[in-house]
Amino acid sequence: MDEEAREGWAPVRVQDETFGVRIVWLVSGLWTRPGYIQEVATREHAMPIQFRHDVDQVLKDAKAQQKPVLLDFSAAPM
Amino acid sequence: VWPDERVVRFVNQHFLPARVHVKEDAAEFKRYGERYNAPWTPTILELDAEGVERHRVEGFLPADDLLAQLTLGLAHMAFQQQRWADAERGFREVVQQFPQSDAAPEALYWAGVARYKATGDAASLKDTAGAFTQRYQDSTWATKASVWR
Repeated sequence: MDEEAREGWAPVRVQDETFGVRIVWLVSGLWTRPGYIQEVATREHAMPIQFRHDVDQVLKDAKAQQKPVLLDFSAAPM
Repeated sequence: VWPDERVVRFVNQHFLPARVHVKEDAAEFKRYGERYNAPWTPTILELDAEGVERHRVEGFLPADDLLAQLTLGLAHMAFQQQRWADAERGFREVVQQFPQSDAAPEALYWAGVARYKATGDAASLKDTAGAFTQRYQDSTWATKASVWR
């Protein structure tokens, strides 16, 4: 635990990616007295965007549903 | 940016999301890149339900700026469809929610135009020009609105 954590609140963000689901752990450590750490942990599940790659079908679905399309031209690691 | 929960929620709420990857979907990337003139990544297009491009975002943006641009794009889409009230609401949302974004001055400009389209009252344009004397004075949108004073 670093010095900031010893002073009190110490938000630590840890990200873990498992099976395409990004899980964000937000852990807060509260130093209440020497030798004792009370941890309060909450977990946020940030579901990823379900990008489809069948663009032709997405365009057809958009027309049928009268819904806009977000088309992402990407080079990001998959 | 994509893992940002606000962006995820916004995209899932408003769009059918699709992706063409420069390597994994090389053929589709080439085909749609030519169709929509998008040879570079990242490029994000907002297409209306007919597949017509209504807004584009080129290059990386932080979450707030991306949300501002996506909201701006939806407002432009409403404007093109002559849904003036929806358009104005979207443009004003950009200004209110993301006042520091590059999208905000453009949104302020078009909010005035959308109101004018809805009402036919030129006062909305004059009011918009007046608003630009209070904020975003150095933007090109302030210059464009200056003729309305």
